[in-house]
Amino acid sequence: MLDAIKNFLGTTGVAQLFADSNWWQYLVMYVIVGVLFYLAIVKKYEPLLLMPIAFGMLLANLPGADLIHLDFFFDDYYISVEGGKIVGTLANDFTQFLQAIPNALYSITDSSIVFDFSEATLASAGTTMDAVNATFQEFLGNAATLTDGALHIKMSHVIKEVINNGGLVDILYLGVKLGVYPSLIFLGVGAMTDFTPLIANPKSLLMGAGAQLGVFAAFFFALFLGFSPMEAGAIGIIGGADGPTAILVTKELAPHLLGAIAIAAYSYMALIPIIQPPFMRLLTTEKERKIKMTNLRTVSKVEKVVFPIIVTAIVCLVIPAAAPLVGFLMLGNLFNVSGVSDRLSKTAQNELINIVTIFLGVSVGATANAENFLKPQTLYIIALGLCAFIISTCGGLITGKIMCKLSGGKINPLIGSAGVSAVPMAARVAQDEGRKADPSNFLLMHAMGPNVAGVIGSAVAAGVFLSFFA
Amino acid sequence: MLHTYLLSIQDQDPTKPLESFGEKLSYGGQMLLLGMATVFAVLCILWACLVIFKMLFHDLPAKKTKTADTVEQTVTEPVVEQTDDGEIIAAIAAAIAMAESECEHVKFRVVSFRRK
Repeated sequence: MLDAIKNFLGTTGVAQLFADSNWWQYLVMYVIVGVLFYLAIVKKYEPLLLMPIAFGMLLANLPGADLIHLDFFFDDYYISVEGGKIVGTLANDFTQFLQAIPNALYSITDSSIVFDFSEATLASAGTTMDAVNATFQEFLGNAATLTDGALHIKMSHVIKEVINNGGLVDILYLGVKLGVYPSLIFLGVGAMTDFTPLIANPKSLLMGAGAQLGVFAAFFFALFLGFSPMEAGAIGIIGGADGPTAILVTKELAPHLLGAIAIAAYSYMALIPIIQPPFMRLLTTEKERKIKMTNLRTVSKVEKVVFPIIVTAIVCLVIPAAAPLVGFLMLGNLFNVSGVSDRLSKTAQNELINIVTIFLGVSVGATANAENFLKPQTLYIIALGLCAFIISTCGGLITGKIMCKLSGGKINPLIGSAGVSAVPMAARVAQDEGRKADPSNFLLMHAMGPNVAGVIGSAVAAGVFLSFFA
Repeated sequence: MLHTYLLSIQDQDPTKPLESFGEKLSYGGQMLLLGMATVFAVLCILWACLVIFKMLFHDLPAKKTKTADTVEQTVTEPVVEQTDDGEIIAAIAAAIAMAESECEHVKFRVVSFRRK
């Protein structure tokens, strides 16, 4: 009886928690989860996203729950080298492949395998690349690919592993890994977004472009903190102030940083009313903040309908990598403005985006387990994310100031800060700052132009990184 | 020049951190310039398209209304006041934003804007 009780107690999460030598890391994660819950529930900062993310983090850090196995999504789980020995679920097949090809074609170090498929080596080993590929297909063709000496596990094999051995959150995380959720969220965002202020005042696009400065500046700084260019790209996109974009880019370029980047992106988006105003006041004069802008022109229905089609065509022709984001954003908008697909528009705006938000939040939060999250890298990412937001805000404001000068003082530079995306929070902050300078100043509709331009701008910036690195 | 930049960026292995200070400065600087130039270029193309939009489509509804008015001159219809919907919506939206930010306990939501 006592043994049975002891066995039962041994299986509890508490026992497993304190059996782990890094138990204190779990406690730190619980504190972070608590802070996120506080921000979401008490302070009401982005609660729709921070709450599922925080809950996902909690689930991922409960010992024994086994809801997510992040290993499944990394190549190392299937084939890796530890101490010069090949390990992983595909170790046997891989060893057989290595035994079937000449020894001269590869060398095994303590932690990696280096292939040499140069023509000279292949010739001296008395084989051809076609023969090597045929051997690879025979042993590992169903599970992996070998391109230019780099080995990658096929997504179909990962999915098989998740279905056979995965937990609930593993299955939900497939939507992130396959890039499904960010596009579906953009579909809903497109259906909810009114592009009229942008169509009425196309100059706003320049402020949306200027506000992407933080994205590339953070990339620049990240290189100096020791991140690889791909990791730096994923970190830089935090400055786009667009959660789905950040997630899509990160899952392509640096999936191991997904938890930290997603949490930094959404937290800073929530903190925009605190981050932006000091820099808005610093970079503008009282006189500039008081500028009242003339009313926007009316926009015809034809313009509204043609806009999403043209934007999709242009952006995707120039940067095809931006198609999953811009394409779905504009499809959602077309549902809304066409006036003939109300049911689709309502579904995209409500049920679909809500369901996907839950799945996305929980699965992204679950990637932030203690082992992955509590690293010096995370602190760097949080610091770089803040830099990216601040520089993006300044970039938008400076563009706004230049346009103010060029227009003879007709444009209030405050609306430039709204170019950082984060719809509609950034536009509201511009409205509030304008009203503080002059209570009769209403900038909200004017700020919505750069704000939605920022959404397109950040998708283009994401496309730039994906074109270069993915 | 741009082509040279592209080549020098693509020559690097993006999965590995860069070694020297000079490499980081050059690589990061090139990416910053290229990235911003691309974003500005794409959005400037969109700007140009929107300007063309205005010329092509903005006056379409107005012309149609005029034609319709001429055809139906004999029919007596109630005169609709020609005001700017965007202006009204902007004013209402701004007023709501102001009310929301001033009083967090506001218990109303806007369902629709309708002209009487």
